[in-house]
Amino acid sequence: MILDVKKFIIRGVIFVNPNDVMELLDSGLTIQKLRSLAKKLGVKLRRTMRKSEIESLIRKKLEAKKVRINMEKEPRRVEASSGKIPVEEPKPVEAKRELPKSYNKDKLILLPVNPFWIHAHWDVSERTKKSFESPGVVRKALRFYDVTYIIFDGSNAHRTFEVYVDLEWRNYYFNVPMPNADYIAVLGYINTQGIFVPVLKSNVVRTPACSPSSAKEEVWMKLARREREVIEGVGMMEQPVERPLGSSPGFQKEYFELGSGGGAFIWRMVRGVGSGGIL
Amino acid sequence: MACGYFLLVLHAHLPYIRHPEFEEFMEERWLFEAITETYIPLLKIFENLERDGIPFKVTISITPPLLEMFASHDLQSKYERHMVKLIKLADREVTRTKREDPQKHSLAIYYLETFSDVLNTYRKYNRNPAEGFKVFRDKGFIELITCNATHGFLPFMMRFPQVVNAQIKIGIEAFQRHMGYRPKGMWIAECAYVPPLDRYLAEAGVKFFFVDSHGLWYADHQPRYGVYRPVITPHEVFVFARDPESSEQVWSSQVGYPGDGRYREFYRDVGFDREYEYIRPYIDSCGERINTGIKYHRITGKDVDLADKELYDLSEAMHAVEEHARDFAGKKIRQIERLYALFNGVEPVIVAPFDAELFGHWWYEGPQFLERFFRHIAETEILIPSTPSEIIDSLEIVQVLTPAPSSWGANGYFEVWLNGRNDWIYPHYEEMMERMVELAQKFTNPTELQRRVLNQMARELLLAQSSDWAFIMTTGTTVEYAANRVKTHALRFLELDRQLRSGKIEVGYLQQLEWLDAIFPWLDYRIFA
Repeated sequence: MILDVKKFIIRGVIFVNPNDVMELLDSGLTIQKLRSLAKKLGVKLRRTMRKSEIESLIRKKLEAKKVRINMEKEPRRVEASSGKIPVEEPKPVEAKRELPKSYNKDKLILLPVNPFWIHAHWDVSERTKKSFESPGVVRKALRFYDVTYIIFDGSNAHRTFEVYVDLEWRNYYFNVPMPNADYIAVLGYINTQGIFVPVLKSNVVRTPACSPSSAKEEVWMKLARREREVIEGVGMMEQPVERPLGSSPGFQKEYFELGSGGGAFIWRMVRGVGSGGIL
Repeated sequence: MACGYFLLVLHAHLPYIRHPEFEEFMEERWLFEAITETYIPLLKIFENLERDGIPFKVTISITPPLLEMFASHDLQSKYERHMVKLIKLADREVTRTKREDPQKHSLAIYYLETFSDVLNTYRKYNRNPAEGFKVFRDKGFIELITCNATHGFLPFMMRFPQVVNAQIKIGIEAFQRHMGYRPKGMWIAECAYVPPLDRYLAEAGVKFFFVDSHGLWYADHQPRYGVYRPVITPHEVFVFARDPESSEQVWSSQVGYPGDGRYREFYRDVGFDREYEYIRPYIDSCGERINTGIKYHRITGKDVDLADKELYDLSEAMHAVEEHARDFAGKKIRQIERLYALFNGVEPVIVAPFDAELFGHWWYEGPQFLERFFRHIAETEILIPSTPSEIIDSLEIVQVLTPAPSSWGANGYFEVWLNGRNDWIYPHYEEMMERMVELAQKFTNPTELQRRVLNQMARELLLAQSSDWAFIMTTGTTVEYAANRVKTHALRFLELDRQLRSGKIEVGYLQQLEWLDAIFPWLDYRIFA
């Protein structure tokens, strides 16, 4: 009988998942199958043994975890290339251990960080890279446009900001002046005539707000009829005690200081020990 | 007369850490310690409160990775093995402390009894703490809610509505499969909100979620009652916001409770204190010293060196619990009275969310604190413990607004999950999300093997997306493990993608990943289409 469960070879030794075997046992095996299984697992049997005795010996063996002792010296880290080979099709697993630096695509992506910072990351395909290398390119530049409430046509932004970048940086943190505003970025270059030539355009992101709304009205809904009503606002009845930007270490910071420092092993305990700055 | 409501919300989450390929794995102990020190002790205090007829109410979000780990047979066996070993250590400590110190000795006996009791309780609830929580849910004491699939940081996925949608819907389905019913609410990972997340939540049938205080303060309209009444978004999802006072009172280093010198010191542990040969069988199998959970010292004082900590006295600690619980209850009652008067008779709703693991694991006496707190407020009618669903059912009129982008991390926005220490992961997330959506749309009629590959790719993407990895990189503890997890899942995703495109699918490789990264076995990749 071949064990009807998944098998794995690690460094030449066959392993099975004991829980799979447990399930197999639970399904009820004939005494012949039990004997064969015991043999595979290296469980020694006497000929006079009853079915229940064999089964309990196998279970004991599974408890002892001898079925799949790992030979690794340091059983700690998941390695991308762990050399574990399934029986069915022997082949090295994940020979490549590093992620690609580039996916050879053209992308410029913005993500909001906080009310005053936006993160941009980009990937440039080999083909597009050539256009950045043409003789007409004087400098490579990343432009940020404030496009709050407008449909951007390349020239109608409220404000435009520019930094010179190296394509190999692959990312950039942009300090922007306005919370609650929409930004778009364009990666391009300045040509010999001093004109900005756009190459990659990003998505639009909105920076988070960091002050109470100036809207004067309130909207209320009567739930029974799902009717909405707009009335004159009264503002917040109790003024909140806000924390100035950059000062809040996260509301659960303090317990980090409570302890005697260092070595927290469940990372949850250090929630809020932020980086402070961004870069 | 009731003047207001108090919502205690415990967010129970650990990232999916399950390594069936190893007999022991250090990071799997996070789950074990959380079970021993937090989840089981919470169940114990619920049992006590129920027995004594105390009307407590708690909201608990149990994340899908935690549900999956609770139900995993190999983690269950590993946990039992871990506990058996721990009980053995406690037993040895009982013998050993006999000749050391009577106070230590009585603590050793306490640990021996407590650990045995924990293991019995664990078995009583079928080796699955979620079943225990469900018992108290069915009795009406707690409301259980879910979380987005793998605790992914949703604001950074907004470019791919399909991915956001998958995170939300898988979160609901996982909960339903484990608990047997549809949850009404969702804890969005890290309280990280950006519009129009509420639209996706509404489409998935989520009735309510939570934001941090400034999510309401800086909303598109000013919230009349600040964070003290739920609001509804234009897409008709209710929102509850965190009360800044409650968390400050509990956790602040100046006035917070857990820093009291009478409480147990986390960092003094026999795992470090005992001589190596003696402790060797009970620490990590690679030989590295770790916390075992047997601790004999108290915090003593803020500036006291670890070596100078005094012995822990359980009855003194319980005095502190009593004082702090009474103090907190008093503060909540006064806060409710103040707000009730200020709001001209509209009842304030105080929402106090915490990471569940802080109670018990970090603040060892935390569960007892909660128990004593509920006993105190049972004596008053001014403040009523409640749940989000109960509050929603009682509402007739509610303010409509869109919360502001926000999170509950440091500085209140997104920088904990996006900064110079972890930004390298985002181009890979981006690529995986793009490919996953593209493939889900392309493969409408896959072969059986293609279907399995695509499902596994979805699992690798979801596991990579856990916000825990970026968070760990920021905090600087166990960074190597977190970085490896992102890399490993991304590499596996890319390899499966290569095999799928080339048409040469290696069954053995696929099978191995299905075993290793076995989260959501029922997953259907078409949810990404």
